[in-house]
Amino acid sequence: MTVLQATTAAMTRAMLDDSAVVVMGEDVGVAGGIFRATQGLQQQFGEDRVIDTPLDEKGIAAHAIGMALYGLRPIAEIQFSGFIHDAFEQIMFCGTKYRWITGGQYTCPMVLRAPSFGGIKGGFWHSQSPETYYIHGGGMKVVCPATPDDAYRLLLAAIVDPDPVLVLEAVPLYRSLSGPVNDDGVPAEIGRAEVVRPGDDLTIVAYGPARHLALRAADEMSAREGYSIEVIDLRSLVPWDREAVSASVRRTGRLVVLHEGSQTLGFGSEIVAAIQEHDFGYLHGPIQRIAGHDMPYGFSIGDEYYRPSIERIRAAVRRAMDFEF
Amino acid sequence: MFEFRLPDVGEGLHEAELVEWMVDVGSTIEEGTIIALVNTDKVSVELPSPASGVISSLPWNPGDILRVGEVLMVLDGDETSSASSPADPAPPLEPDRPSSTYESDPVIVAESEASLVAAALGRSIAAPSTRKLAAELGVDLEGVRGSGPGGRILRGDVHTTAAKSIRPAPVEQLSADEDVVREPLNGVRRVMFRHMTESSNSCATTTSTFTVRMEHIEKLVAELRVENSPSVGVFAATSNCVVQALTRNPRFNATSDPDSNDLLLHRQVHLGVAVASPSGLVVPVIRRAQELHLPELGNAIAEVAVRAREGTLAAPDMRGGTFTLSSTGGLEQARVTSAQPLINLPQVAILWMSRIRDEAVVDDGVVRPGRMMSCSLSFDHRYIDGAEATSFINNLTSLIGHPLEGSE
Amino acid sequence: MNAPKIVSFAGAPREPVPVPLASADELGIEQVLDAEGLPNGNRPEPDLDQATVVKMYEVMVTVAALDRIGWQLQRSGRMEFWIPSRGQEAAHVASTAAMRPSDWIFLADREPGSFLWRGAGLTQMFAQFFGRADEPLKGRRLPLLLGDRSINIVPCTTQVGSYIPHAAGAAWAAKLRGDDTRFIVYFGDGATSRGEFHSALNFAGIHKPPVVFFCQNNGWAVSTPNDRQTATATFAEKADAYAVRRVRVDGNDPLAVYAATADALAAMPDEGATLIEAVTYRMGFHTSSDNPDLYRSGDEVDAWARWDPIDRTRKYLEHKGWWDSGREAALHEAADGDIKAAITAAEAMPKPVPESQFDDVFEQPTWMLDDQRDRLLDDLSNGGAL
Repeated sequence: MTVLQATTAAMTRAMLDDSAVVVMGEDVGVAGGIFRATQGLQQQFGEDRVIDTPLDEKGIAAHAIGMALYGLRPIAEIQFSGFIHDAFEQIMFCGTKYRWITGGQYTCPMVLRAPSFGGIKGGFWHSQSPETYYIHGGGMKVVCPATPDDAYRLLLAAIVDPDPVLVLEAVPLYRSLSGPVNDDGVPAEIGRAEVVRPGDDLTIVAYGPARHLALRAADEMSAREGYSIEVIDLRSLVPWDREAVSASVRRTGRLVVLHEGSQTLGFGSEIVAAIQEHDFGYLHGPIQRIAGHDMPYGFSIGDEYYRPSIERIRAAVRRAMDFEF
Repeated sequence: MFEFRLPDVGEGLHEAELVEWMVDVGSTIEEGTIIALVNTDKVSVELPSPASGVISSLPWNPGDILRVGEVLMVLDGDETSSASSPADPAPPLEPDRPSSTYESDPVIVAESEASLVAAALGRSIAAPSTRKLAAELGVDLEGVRGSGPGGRILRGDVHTTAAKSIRPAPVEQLSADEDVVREPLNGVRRVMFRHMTESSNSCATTTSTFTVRMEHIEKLVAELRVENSPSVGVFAATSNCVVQALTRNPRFNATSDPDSNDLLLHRQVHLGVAVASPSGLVVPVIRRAQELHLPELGNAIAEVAVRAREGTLAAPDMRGGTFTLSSTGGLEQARVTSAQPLINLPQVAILWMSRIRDEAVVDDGVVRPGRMMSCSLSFDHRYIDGAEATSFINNLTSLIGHPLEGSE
Repeated sequence: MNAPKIVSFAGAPREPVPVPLASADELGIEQVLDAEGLPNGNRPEPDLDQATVVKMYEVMVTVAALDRIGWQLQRSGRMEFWIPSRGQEAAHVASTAAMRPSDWIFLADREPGSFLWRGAGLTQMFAQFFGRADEPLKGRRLPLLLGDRSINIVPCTTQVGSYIPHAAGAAWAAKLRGDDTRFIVYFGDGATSRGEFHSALNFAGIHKPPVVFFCQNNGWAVSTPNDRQTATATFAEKADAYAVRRVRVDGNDPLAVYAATADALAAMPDEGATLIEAVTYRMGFHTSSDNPDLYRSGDEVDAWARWDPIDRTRKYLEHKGWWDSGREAALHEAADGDIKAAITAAEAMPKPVPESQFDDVFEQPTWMLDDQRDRLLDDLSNGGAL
């Protein structure tokens, strides 16, 4: 299946298994979503469960919260993650806080699906990596699948999770990436990373589409320069698999962190802080970060100079490998 | 005011013992005046003042150990009278890193600044994993000279320091009373202490003992004495054979690289000969010994023996040896037939020779008196195996049995 | 030197606005009782039994006593904060009275009577006011931001109006499930300017969830009077833009409020949501951090005192022969006594422990939270003494 088909399959499976699961968003019903992620769902499950909403992201999020309070499991689709910010207060100060402010009495098991990341020439509003905003302050789990199987299983996990989960879907991978997915309804474990490629000299940690770039860089540099590079796909950010990263860094002593989101206070900052605190004595040198920049996502003709590129990864790997210790 | 800091007087020195002052506080001195005698690593060094002025402070006492870089003497006076005086000893730069990279590579600039900052703060720059290694080995990073970029301390530096430093288990302190005389570990004895510890800790020292017939050597020496080459004694003639044997077995003429543990085979034979000096056994090096004819070799050996007795050997005289030859023949009275000499790091072999003794030998089935010398060859079994050692011994024995003048 | 002239400016106390309740008919305000508590209004009395009306009155009186005593506690430093509800007793008590116990209430911050109506004890309420650990919200909310799932009351997400669509979404969910749960959400006039009000009514017009949007128009959003809040003459008419049913009611008339709420509930199956604008008045301060003298005149407060909901209700009860001065005295004594006993009990209860803040972020804490909690407890223990 493609990543997109896996996404649809997960929602279909969840809606079959649990009548409390509903889908809502702009153009998700009749049109099947602007990316066609919800294609066929309204025909299968009806207007009551696959709802075309007004053009109002704040309203979408707020009503999804209300539904979740009552006991439904709403999946709210935000058309592009750049549109999500109108709902920021609803998400970060209502949905993600209900459990805490009500002493655990009222909970909000909702899912927000947000097509994210760049590489699509979508310009400022259609290419965003907003994860940091929705992590800071707590209460939201965040997953970022980068393969068809992960798209299927992490979305399933988000739906069955008793708490709010933000799914950052990788738009550039929707149709371009295919792979085997067993439609067995088994969710992934949120918070477990995948060691995509084992290595001994250096660890690259990435998430989202950057995982594939990291893999390519690791393969190329291993063949040409003989470096043995381990690549870890975090797959989720809250919680993130610090144990996996730590175990790797304790072996390799070198870490490169890679993400599209902008550098300052990007998720890489958290990884660097946590790893230097937890594994300081194992570091052979400074941890490298490769990230987007503190500005919108690049030019209208393309965002190659914004997003991490193969050149930047190579340079960072060389810096790390060349640092004498 | 001018501070004269103890310079590195011999390639990587980091401390010296003050033997005596040659001047007094209040003296007016000129640039070049010898102000002190210090002992560094088995040699004595006279230190000339790099500046003129009036001595305002000599903050050490004879017997004190100074680190390179510490202030040895303070002068009052006209700053302009100090000539091109050495500044504080800087951390060594990478020898193969051209200065042009300083401008182009911001990382290196940052690191040299880092090393200056570190020096100012008194803290060393080292990667976290290197610090962890240092902690595990009990090495204090302060005072470790870093060989990395910008003076960064590398793992190798930590290992080297760990090998040199001694961490004895705490022992019961004997109470100070009149029955106990303390012999402080100073100067040459301190150096021997360190070297022997290091050697015994790192090398896989294996010794083969053999005997050689010295009749031919003695005959050669007698012939040369007649020809007015009195400097060629038995020791010199035997040394010549050793030198030639080394050219046939080049792995014995080698040193080990402490960082990589690679074996460095040397084209030149720099023969260290152990000789007696007032402060103990010293091993000056005769350089390029394979190029010397026998009389030249004899002269060289004689000269270092004289200088050793007079205590005028300099630090460079002691460095760079590729093989060590040690003979206690002159001192022996007992019949010492073997020894287990410790290897003189970073070399990989050492040869001990006894005195020549009259002993019964068997020639063609007949017992007759022979002129015998016992030899013990210690080699580092981490690098050299038994077959190679046997080969060397065979070659050496053959050469001693048929000594040739000069080199091939 | 001349004394400085006082110049009139926007923030100065303004001329009092006539009480709209006096012109209920002209202004389209549903009203049962007149100023004297007699059933002479434009609506007939609803079908209510004595016990219900008496209970409404008793709860209203208790709310007023609670408000008076709570205010004193705050002013005397025994409580951090107070949000007065004086003058708005009928609006929330009577509307809550019209709901069934299984219906959900989304509270704002001036409805302690809804809590009392559904049987929550005063001790529990004071435990919440004092921020104690052993109350449903675990000491996590400011005083009067009440909630308790066992009586189907959801505490508000503080930000004005933010929870209006939560109520609508929950109602929508109940409808999708085919449940007969109904919903009411309380908010003020200021909240109608926020986007969430718009979102909720817009979605409600389309999907017709079974929710009463109950706007207590108490005349003031802090210092902002109605005519600076919106240009429309009423708040009720805003529902017209979304094709949502709406009514304007005398908020200080418990019978009218009850009836309007009951009508809204009855209309739910066919028409979905109703926006009720209850015209009332904030007799007290906005909160204990406010100073109304900066922006409104005492004359206006005095004018509204004539329409005090408690007085009108008592007069109605007396008119019906359901009340007397003996019962009145007993009620006040009981209210004060119960409140004071609750204060004593609640003040003695333990405060939350630091590690409790890590509960209820998620159903199960992540390792990240566990780490932070462990570190906090370690540091509190190790960093304690000098």
